[in-house]
Amino acid sequence: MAFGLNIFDSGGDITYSTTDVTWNQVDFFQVNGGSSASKTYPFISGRAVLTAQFFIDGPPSTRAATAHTVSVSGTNVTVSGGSENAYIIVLSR
Amino acid sequence: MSYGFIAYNDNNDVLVSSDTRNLHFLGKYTNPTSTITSFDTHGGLRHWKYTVAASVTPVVFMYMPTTDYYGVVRTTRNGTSNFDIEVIRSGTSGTTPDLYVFADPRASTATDQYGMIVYQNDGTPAFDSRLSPLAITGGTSVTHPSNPKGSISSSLDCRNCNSSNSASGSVFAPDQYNTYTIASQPSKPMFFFASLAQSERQVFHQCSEEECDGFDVYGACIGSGRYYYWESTYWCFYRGGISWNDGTLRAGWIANQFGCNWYYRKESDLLGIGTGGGSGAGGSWPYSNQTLNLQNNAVIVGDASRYD
Repeated sequence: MAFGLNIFDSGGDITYSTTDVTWNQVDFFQVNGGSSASKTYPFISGRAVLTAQFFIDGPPSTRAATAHTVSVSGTNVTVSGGSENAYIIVLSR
Repeated sequence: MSYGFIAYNDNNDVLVSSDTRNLHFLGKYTNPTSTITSFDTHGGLRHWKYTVAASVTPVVFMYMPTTDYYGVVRTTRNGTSNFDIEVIRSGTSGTTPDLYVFADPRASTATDQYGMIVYQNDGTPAFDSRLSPLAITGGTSVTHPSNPKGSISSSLDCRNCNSSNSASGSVFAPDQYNTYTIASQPSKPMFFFASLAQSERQVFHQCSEEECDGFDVYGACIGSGRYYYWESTYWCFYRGGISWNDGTLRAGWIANQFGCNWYYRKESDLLGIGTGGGSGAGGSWPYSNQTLNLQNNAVIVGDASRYD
């Protein structure tokens, strides 16, 4: 390579390099059903951001189990409106 | 940044930064810890639990060995050093998905003395090349169709939920999906997908019957008679899944639970005067006929063979 970064293991093989692509974890937190959260991450300014959520408790079949709405605006991430406990992951690159 | 480390990749995206944490490979799980439930009707369901060793919340990728639909439906802590991951799959085979588990580098300890570590400003690791950091190969955002079934045509029995699970399953087996193309993926892709979408569909059947022990005169019973009325509501609850077939990703549905609720009433009379009756009800109810959580769900793809 003419420029960039190669990281080798002890066997001389490249384990990671600037030809790779990834999503980096900015934060991972829990928001309970009926609650909301708002967080600010200066790092994500101008960068691609991806969010996802995981149900902590499997959604029941006997009632509506509404997922949270996760919105990203500038450096702010807000989570609200869900009836279930969930983990929220914020990724950036 | 005024201090620290940042590396960009060839796309000018951040690859490593002391302000974030890369995800690193924690382990591969090829066998579920237990089977939570299964059935072969309604398109089939397999629901497994995998217990994975992780001290921080893991991010799970699935290698999907069949073209059935898969989804991670639950991630919950189990003690201080484990998480339970629940995965569902449509279809009736016994083939299980492999889980590739990733987490930030605080969850692992490397033994190799060779590599590169980047620390955050609190002294905890942000990146450690010895721990097989996550590299991805693609991704998209999927939305499930609002109805798991294109149309429901039912001739199920109105009486006391008498139709078999097989007959009900033929009515409710999901057949709707949205299609996405993700080109140039590896031969052994692994998928991150947390299932949020859910749907419930039901069909209502009612019928009645009259018995007359006397004379039937223009539809009226002269003598003693009985009137029977039945209702049966068959239902199926679905959760969202994804399937992969040679470059085509589908967002479809997995039947997760089914049941039926019934009601019965009997009225007796003699010469038009009521002489008694009875009623009964039974079965189980789901929540209402509704589809939820159709917002865009992230799917991230990586090369599983890189972590085998």
